[in-house]
Amino acid sequence: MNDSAPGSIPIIDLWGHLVVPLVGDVSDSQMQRLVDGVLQRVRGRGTRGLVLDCSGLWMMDSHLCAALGKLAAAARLMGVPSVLCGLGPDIVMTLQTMGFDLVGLKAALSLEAALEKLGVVPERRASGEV
Amino acid sequence: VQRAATAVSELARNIVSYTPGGRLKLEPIAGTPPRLRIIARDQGPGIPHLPDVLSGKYRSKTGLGRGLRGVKELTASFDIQTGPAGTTVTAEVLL
Repeated sequence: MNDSAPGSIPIIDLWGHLVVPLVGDVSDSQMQRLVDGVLQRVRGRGTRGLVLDCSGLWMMDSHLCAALGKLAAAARLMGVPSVLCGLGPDIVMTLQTMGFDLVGLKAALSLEAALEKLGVVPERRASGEV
Repeated sequence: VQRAATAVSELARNIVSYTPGGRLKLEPIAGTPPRLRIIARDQGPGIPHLPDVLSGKYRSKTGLGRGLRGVKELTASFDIQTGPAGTTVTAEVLL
């Protein structure tokens, strides 16, 4: 597992799901390592779902867009559904203008909404209980 | 700014992926609104089937067509000259 190597994108385990926070400007080599890392983790740990959190991303070009689509498609072939979340208005408008709609990839507004889409149910305890 | 960054990224990627080398020149132009002129010049083999690429008929496995076509859609003005001696794209994005 080289996901703690310098410059690599973290892959976070969360209640049986994998959460990947994409931040800033993602390079081709970071993305390639991410795809390898995610697929290895999926196979090794029986992941239930994959969340690609784009809320910290400041630019998405056609290559990154295609790479995210491929990662989701590869995970799906291993039986793992993916949800994209946190895309901001600027990125969404740019993708639209360029004609990339990412149809086929589930999307959610926030990380919470993405996890709920994957079947995570937040349990709210009665006040007084901790 | 998002548009400008994406257009620059697409044009730079095309040069790196498909040509032996080239140059990318960025010229800010004052005005209302201000614009950024992007000039991407390479010494590659040129782009065959350019009309098909720009109309969206042609798509490479890696997405070259989509990138170039996307840049055309993102920019306020777009000009491309291509031939066996290389390709020059001149585009302007509103900031």
